[in-house]
Amino acid sequence: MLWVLQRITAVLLVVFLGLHLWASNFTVDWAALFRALVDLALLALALFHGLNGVRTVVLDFGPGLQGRRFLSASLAMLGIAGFLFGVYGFWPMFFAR
Amino acid sequence: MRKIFDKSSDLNPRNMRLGMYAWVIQRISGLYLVFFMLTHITAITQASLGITTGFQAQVFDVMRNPFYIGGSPALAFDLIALGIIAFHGLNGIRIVFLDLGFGVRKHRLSFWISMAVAIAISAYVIFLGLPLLKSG
Repeated sequence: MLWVLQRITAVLLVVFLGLHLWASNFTVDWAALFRALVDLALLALALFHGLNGVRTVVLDFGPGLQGRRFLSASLAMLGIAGFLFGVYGFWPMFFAR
Repeated sequence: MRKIFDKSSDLNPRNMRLGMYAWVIQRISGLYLVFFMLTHITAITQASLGITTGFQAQVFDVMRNPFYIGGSPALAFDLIALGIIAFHGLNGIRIVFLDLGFGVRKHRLSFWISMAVAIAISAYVIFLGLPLLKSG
């Protein structure tokens, strides 16, 4: 399951990264919503892909059961915290005009 | 931790060939990009909340001083990350195709092609960025 998600997020990241670099250069008004959607998707995808990648790397060193639990729980919390922090930062850029 | 550089280890340089180097570089670049992602989220969030000097001011600062803002490498940091993103993404697409069973016999050729494309993308973006830096 996580393996499949890692591949899907990898492909979507390439797509959204292109849209991100393209949309960052827009100046017209309708682009704001599009930019917000792309950046939120990119934030979530990149955090999942990156932190799940860290999990894979650490699991390859063969930690014990407790270590695996601690690792997965702390990476999940870091991901959620990072997402909320990113949304908090996006808020004035997108919605307070 | 196991002795990962033993004589019989897959990670001992004497046992490593192109595919294994690609695997190691993909891991290291991935870990670097996690570090970059977290600093990027922090920087963008702080800048957008006006914690430093305001987002626009910071962007102009980057344009005026391409390599150092406040003693820290800024644009060089982003450009290096861009090259690493190009490498990691293209090599990742190649891995997805290899996992699906396409081009397994041509994996060396596809590695060098993806490297050439990554270098071309990096060169193109640096080329696009140069006039911005000079006019800033």
